Amino acid sequence: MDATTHAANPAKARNLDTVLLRKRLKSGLAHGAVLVLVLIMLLPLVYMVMMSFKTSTEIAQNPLGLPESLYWGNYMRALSEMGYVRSVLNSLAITVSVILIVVLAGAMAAYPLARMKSRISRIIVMIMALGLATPNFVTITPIYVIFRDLGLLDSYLGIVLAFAALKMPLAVFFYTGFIAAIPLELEEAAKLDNCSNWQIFWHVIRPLLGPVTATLSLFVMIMVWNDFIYPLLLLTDKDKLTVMIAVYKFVGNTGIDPTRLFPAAVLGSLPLLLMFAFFQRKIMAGSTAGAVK
Amino acid sequence: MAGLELSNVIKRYGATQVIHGVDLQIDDGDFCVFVGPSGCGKSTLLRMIAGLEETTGGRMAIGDRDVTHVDPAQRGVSMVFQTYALYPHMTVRENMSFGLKIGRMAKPEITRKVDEAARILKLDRYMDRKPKALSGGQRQRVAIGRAIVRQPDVFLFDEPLSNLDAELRVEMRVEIARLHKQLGATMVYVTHDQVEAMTMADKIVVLRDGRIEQAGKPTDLYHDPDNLFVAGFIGSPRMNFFEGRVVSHSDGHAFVEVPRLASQPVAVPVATRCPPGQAITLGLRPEHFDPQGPVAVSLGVDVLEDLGGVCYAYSSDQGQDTPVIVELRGQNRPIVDGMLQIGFDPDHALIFDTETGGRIR
Repeated sequence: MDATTHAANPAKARNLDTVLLRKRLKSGLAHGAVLVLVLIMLLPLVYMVMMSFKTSTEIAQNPLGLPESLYWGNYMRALSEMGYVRSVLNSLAITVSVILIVVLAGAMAAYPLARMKSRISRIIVMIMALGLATPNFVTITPIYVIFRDLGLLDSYLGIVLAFAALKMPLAVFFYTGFIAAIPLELEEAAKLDNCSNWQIFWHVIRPLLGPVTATLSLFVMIMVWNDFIYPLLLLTDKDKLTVMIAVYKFVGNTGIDPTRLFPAAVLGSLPLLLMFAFFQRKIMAGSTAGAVK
Repeated sequence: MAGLELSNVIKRYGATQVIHGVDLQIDDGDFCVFVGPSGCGKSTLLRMIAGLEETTGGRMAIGDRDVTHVDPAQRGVSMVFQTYALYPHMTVRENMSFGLKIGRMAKPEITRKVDEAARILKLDRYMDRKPKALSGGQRQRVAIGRAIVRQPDVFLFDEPLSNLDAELRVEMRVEIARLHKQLGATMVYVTHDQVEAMTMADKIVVLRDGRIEQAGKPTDLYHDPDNLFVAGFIGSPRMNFFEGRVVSHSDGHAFVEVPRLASQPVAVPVATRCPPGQAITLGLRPEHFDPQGPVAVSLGVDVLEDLGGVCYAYSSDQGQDTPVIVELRGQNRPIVDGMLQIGFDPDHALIFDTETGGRIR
């Protein structure tokens, strides 16, 4: 009896070791896979930064190697030639304006849609969802024609309105789900506190939308900042160009000059990366809000 | 402050009627409690009084004002919700003063009212905290404070204690009762907890399927219920019911045969003449069993709940679904699976028409 017990215990311990080893191996493999994916995703970024510090000779001799030294001359030239400050300010003004409109109008549109249980509201939400899935090439021509007829081509108002309209379905989609999860009792309490519908939205609902607004703002910011098609379509005045179009200036018809293009690309992405790093915590909170009680 | 009057109040959702012509008078300063099983319409009726649900038909008046179709904020009511419904982004002070700010009251007046409510509810120390930094009881006090500052004609409470633990519930129950005494306001309170109803109410309204079964003082409903439903609903543990049949009627007594309870017909005092053979249900509260009672009863005991001062014996003999509950005080406790020799006084028994459920008085 004793012998059996003693024999069983080491076997049990061995089994436990095997299970633990398997668990660690699985975890190690998963981490390794994630690391590889992250490296693959970072590769173009690293390549862009590396190239931006190389002289033209270095690029010609060793296009994949590390730069021998950090050559800032490329940046100086790109800064002066691309009208960096002006284009960043343009992008910033357009992006911020679009975010403000989308956030405010999106939340206002989503509030009744989230609360009304009628068939019409469901149909509107469905149409909005369709707007999310509409590809760019479908909207380019109508937008160009409408904006040309309205005299909104080559104007800040035009590009802001175009982006705001295009991003509105995303905002409504975001806010509808979030507002639907806000307890109805809060609104009823506000009604008893003498609030009109507008006051309920402004004083009770809007302040609770912070986390989802941060997440939505980030998405809109990335999409608008990086968008290339609509600024190219609607803007021609070089003083109104966005930073992405300014970067594109270094892509020639017959070839590219990497010593100009790569530093310009780094400079173009820099404000976005900084903003992302700054808002990251709020954004993560927003993207998981409502996941647990 | 003012009373509340409901006349033939109806609520329909499409073709479904949920409140069927409710008539009710609540006097100024009364504490009225709506009780009833889930889905009986008590919360709907409260929300109709608040104006959060549209009234389909009938009339609703607060004091002399017809408020049937008046906006919630103009009715002169304040409501305390089950889930507190505090604005999470506002501090306690902001929560309490929000309604007054929206009503454009002068700042010094708001401060005075909020401070006064905070003092009454002992919230002074928490005024700058947000709701998430408060306990359940404190949150409920803030919700009550928010109602107080508006100085409404009628306070409405929708199961305000159901989210609290047992100890806090008792504490808050006492606090609300004290508050009612202090403010002298008309209060309407919805609960499914009949202990709350019995201990707090001046008037209890028992609802079933959107109709008032009986309304009156708690002790009246307890001792003199109008029907089987009220008799069974009010009282904890519930009243015992025994199926029986009228044998005869003489000298203001109905002689009823109740096989599960007694071998001989029991003489229950009732003024109404009952025809022999009528099916009745005899009701007897657990505390009305008495070893000295003139009618002897013998019951097999299945379960004992000994709470120290009082003990409840449950008897499910003869395969009955609902056990007979006997309250025992001071006597020697019976043993489980043993026999309990007890008695009762038929003067305490109530009889109901089994068919209609109505009380036979």
